[in-house]
Amino acid sequence: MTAPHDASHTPSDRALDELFAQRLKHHTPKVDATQTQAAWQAVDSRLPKPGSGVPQSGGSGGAASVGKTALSPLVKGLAAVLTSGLSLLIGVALWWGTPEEPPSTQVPARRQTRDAAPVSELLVPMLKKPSPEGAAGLRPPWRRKPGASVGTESGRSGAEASQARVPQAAEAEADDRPPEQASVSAHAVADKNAPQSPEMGFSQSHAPTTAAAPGARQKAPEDADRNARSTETTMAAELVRLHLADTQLCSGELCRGRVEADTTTVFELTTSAGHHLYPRSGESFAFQLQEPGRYLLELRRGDTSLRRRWVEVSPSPEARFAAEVNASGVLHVTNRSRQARRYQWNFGDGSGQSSMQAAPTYTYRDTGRYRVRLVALASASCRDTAYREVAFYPSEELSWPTIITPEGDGKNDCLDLPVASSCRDFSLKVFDRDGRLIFESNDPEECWDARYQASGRKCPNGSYRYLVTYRTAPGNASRQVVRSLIIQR
Amino acid sequence: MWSSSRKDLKIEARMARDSDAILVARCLCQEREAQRQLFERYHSRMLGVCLRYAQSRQEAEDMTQEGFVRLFNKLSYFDSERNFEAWMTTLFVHNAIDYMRRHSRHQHFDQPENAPEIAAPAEALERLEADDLLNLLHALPDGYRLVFNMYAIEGFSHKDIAEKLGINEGTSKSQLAKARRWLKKKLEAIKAAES
Repeated sequence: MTAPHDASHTPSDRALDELFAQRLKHHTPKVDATQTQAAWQAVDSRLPKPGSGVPQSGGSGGAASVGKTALSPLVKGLAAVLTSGLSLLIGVALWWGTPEEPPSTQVPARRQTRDAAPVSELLVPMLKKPSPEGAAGLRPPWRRKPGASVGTESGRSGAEASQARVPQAAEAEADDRPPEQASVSAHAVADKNAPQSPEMGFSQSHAPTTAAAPGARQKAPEDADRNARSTETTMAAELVRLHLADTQLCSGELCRGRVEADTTTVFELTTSAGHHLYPRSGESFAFQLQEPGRYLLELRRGDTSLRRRWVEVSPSPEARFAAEVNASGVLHVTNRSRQARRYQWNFGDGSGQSSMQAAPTYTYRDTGRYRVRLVALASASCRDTAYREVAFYPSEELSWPTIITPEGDGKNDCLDLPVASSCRDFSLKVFDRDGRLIFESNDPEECWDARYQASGRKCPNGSYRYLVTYRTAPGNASRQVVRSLIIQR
Repeated sequence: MWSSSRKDLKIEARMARDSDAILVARCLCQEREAQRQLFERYHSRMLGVCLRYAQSRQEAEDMTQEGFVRLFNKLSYFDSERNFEAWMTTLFVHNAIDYMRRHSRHQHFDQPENAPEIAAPAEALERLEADDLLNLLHALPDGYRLVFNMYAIEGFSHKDIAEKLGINEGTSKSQLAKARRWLKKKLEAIKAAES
């Protein structure tokens, strides 16, 4: 490091690095809002232009191509959650009709408002007597308005049961619509055929927003009341929404949700685990589910069953493992995870290799320290992650330099020692021919550039000696290497 | 079984992550409003990253803008299991490195003789502000600054640096040594001016 005489003035290399890293790594400069605005406009002008007001699904140039590759796991995950929730519901309730849009001509391709939770709530009036062929015919007048969004419909149709009907419905509706809207809906339906499209994922998540359209809200209660009273009419077309923050939980996790309805009556929420809750519209509720399994949530008012949802509880997994690398670079792991059904390993060497085995072995190509990651999964959303650092040091180190040529051509300019930067108790001492100590350092990364430590002047050409001591890993025996060194400029 | 408070914490963390993830997903749909929100959320933090690499504030701002354009184009590569900010920072670091390589003023081996003098702050070394350190960094020649940033702040190894910059490890080490020596000299000067 630094010579003894000026140690009090100059920070050591490590301290210098740390000073800068500490102050600057997370340094956030002050930027005022106008600067940000100006910067955004500059960025904005360099981004691909989205289509003007028309959904991207039509596929204009850049946006579409980005969309295709844009299949992040998140979008898939959203789609999966929505689809599973939906197909369950379809089992008990026949999906029927299209939610009403306010009669504006705007197609709600991209809604700006959105909840953080993957809300899969549906505006699904239930039919006690399922009659699929009657679905289109039974649609009441307020549901046949020209502005009805087919984009939403296609988004909803993630459940296979309803997919077949969608194009039909779209065609039927396209007839009473202005031409440009019909073409838009055609796009939206076409989009459905590429179920991996991110647009798809999003129209699904928009569904609840669309369902909350004010027009629908005003008209529904009358229908709902009438239908509830009638024993012959089998619909409970009431606008009640049961939001659940998540339908796949880990055991012990809180199941959180919210009820939204037009009325202020108290609902009853029962679960097959024996909970009875009495939420009002707009109130959130939470309860805990301990035992793994599938639970049915039922929202009722009196004897009328309004909504049913399934919630799946998986055991909380715990990821734990021990890992060790032997002298030839082979990694052995001992998996001590609990309650996991699947595993994902990452070996941290940037090779992109991973493993799904419970206890894989892996061979590192290079020496170094690696961060091994284990993800233990009970279900897609129930997971736990553990990390462990391992180090691979070879039994024999590489060749030790015997000559350096510090003339500044970028080749052998400094004393580049073949020790791992993570080695312990490192010390380098350089002596001149008379045995005087001219340089010393405790930093394995430091590359001595043939200058006297005390004066900073260049050492003359000639023969020198250096002594290196270090341990390859904590606990290993200390090694000592002495070599002679020629400095040749 | 875990206590409920720990569970709550986990839920909170998940929700914070989700808000990024949702914004990212919306950006993937080319939703301009979401892109603007993401930009506003991270602009100053990313400017902070670029400031370390750039020679001036102006250059850092250019770099940041370029970084965001690149970010929005590369967003589909983001793995939603990862921490978004960390991923984004990595992207900006790589962008900054590329930028410096492209705009490098070929001073790798220049001695920084005509570096501007830094006004000595009244505080002790330990209390140097981030801005003072940034000024020091800005005065470093490009090559030194790049290697110093990558090694000391980002924590790259010399091997990584050599690979990324297409130089050999020895060069990386000597650049680092020179950068450190230069910075130390300046810090000493500051300290001497104080006492």
